[in-house]
Amino acid sequence: MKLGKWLQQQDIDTSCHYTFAFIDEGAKREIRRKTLKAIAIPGYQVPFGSRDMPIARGWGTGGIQLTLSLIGPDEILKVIDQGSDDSVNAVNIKAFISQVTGVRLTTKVQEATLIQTRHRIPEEPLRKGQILVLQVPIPEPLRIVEPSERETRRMHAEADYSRMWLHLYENIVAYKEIMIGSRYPVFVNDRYIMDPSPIPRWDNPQLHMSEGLYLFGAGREKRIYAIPPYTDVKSIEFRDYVFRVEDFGEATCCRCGSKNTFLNEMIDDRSGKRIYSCSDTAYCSNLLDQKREGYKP
Amino acid sequence: MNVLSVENLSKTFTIHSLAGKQINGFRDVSFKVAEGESLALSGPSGTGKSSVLKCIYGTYLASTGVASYYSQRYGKVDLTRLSEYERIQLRLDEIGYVTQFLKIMPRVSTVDTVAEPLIRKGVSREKARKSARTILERLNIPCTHLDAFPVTFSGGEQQRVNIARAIIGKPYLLLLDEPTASLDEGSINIVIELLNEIRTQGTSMIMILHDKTILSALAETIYPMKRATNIPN
Amino acid sequence: MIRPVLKIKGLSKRHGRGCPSCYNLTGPQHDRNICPQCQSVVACHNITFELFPKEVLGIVGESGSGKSTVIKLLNFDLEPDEGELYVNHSNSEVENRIGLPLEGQNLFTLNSFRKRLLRNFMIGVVYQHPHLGLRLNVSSGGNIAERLLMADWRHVGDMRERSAELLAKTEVPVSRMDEPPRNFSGGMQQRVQIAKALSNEPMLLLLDEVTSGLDVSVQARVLDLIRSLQHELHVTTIVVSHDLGVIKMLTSRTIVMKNGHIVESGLTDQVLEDPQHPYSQLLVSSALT
Repeated sequence: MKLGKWLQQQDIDTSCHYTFAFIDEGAKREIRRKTLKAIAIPGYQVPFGSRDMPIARGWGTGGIQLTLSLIGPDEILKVIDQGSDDSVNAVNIKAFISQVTGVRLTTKVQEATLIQTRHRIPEEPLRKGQILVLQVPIPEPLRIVEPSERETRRMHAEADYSRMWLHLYENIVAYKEIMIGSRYPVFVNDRYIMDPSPIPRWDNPQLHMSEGLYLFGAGREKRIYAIPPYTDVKSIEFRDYVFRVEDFGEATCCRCGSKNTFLNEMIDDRSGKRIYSCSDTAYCSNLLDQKREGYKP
Repeated sequence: MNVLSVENLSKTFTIHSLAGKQINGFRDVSFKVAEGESLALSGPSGTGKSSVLKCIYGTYLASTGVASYYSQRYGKVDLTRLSEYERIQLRLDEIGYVTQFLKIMPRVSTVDTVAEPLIRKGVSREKARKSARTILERLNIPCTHLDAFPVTFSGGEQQRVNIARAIIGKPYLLLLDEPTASLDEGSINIVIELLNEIRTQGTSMIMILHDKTILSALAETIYPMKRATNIPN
Repeated sequence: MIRPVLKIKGLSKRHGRGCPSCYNLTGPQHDRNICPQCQSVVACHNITFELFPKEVLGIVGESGSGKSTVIKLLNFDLEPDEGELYVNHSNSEVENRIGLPLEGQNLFTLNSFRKRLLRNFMIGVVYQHPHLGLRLNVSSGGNIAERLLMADWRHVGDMRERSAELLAKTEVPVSRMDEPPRNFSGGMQQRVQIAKALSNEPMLLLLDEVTSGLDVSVQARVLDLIRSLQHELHVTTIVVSHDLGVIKMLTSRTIVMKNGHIVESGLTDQVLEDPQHPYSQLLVSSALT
């Protein structure tokens, strides 16, 4: 439904309440324009005027601003934090967005049109038309080798990434492998090196040639960047030291028994033993349901 | 066939630290050298004989005059007006120079020092070192010395290394400034023999020699140098 | 007749706001670099020379002569105020990347992206102070690998092999390849710099006072290394030094600079034995040997 009609239906005096989705229309316009620019230049960090949010910086204000600028009354929203729909951050953000928009919430990836996430990509690949908004603490992948913002901007402008490569080389010399766990840099569209946010390596391959749109928002650092659908995204690697995802060995999820999802490691309170469970709780529940129903793929 | 034709060559030095005082090197030197000929510059010391050689070689810039040289590579050129690049090429290929004073790279072995002119011309390192060994043997440099550094040698030995280096490339024109100065009689004879040999093979020479016996053994023509009068201020 | 591989014309660099009289009021005839009108520093002015393939050119001068500025300009570390740079060299890989032929272009007019490419693929530089040319906290093999990475090498094994080769050539123990140069002696740091500069087989090698400040025996070893590398690799080289002994040992042609200008140029033995310009005469007569 169009926004205007919704406002009419709400029968509210809009002069003294918040606008739909909390931020004003001017702000939304700016963020959308910057988002379009980010989509037009995959992997390039677009500066934007990060607005005041009712939660502190460092808690997902960038992601929230993106979501609020894009959301319409008919969207179906899913919010996860470290893969879980139930954690504090996810629940609070969902509550806030629901309050200022009234949109339908869901935990099912298949149903959602807009998904906001902190530090994980859902196991189920995005469909055409879906948007994943990721919360980004530090958008700059080169920060580990160069503290100066001015210098990193120049490095991106001139595609001068040798110092990042050198950092990886030194890792290999010292430890025989690349020691980056999350925020593993990717090479987007053969042009920019990008920080995919603190998602585990496991999730990096999802960025490549996806049907859906990935948007990254850093509220504190005031940057937006994007990976449009069907973009070439390669995790950086050497020809003789290639990119590898996490290897969980023989571990399986203690809930659904899955062997090929990203697993959280925990200590069982009673037995004191190490147990594992799927990070993506919705996916885990889905698998469990399928098992119970004796689902045959 | 003339290899070199020097006409009215002069050299004057200007010493700027003495308010531009001018000192004569030599004035109005003219002579010709034919192919295979050996010419000796004679005269008392101070007449500028070494300076003439240096002007021909290019270490000094001649003040006036012409030195027409019939180069194998470039045809007729004026040695006083060569471009830097041409001069380097001629020194590499055609014009050799032996002086009393050793101008050798420190910490390079004798064999490599002598082999270098050939290597720079494109000869393989192996062949060049072999030729170097042959010529050094001929000049009675003992085998033990071949890998040592020439700076540690006696004056006579250094001089022989110098000569070996200058003639190994069979230059078209060879300039020699007192080549036998520190040599004993035996060595002198060997050097005379070698020089006469390369002369028959086509090398032309201009030399400065004090000793009259050696002069008569080597020089075909003599050009006497006169002391130049100083330029009045 | 061989064409020069490099031509510099009218190169000038000034620091400060500048004024119309800067170039007229500075230079060797005025014995100063600083313009009395506007206090700008004329680092170099109207530098013109040619370089022939495989030759070693010396640039000699004292502090303020502008010789290091010329190196920095050639290495694209600084932007010139005026000047043209031409090369007679083709490198299809570079030309494909920058989308232009190398010959016939004033290379100073290229944008910084293209200059960076040129520098990465074609120029090697060694500085007086190792910290200017090396990352002292990165392994010495990594320092060399950085240049290879800039030239798009992406195989760790290949890079290590090439680094080891270069370190061996520059007499640095290969066993120390994974150690940072911070732990090395001054002479060894310089040799790592040289290895790094040669790693991409540059068309032009720039040596800026590479042995000044080293102990005499260490200096000798580095100079011998440079000379033997020159014999082996025949890289076109510019050697900048205030030390006439170094110039004599390494170069076939020399340029003398004072207060930002070239005062004399010629074959090295001629400049050292028959200097024409008053300043050259002063320099030669002041040398210790």
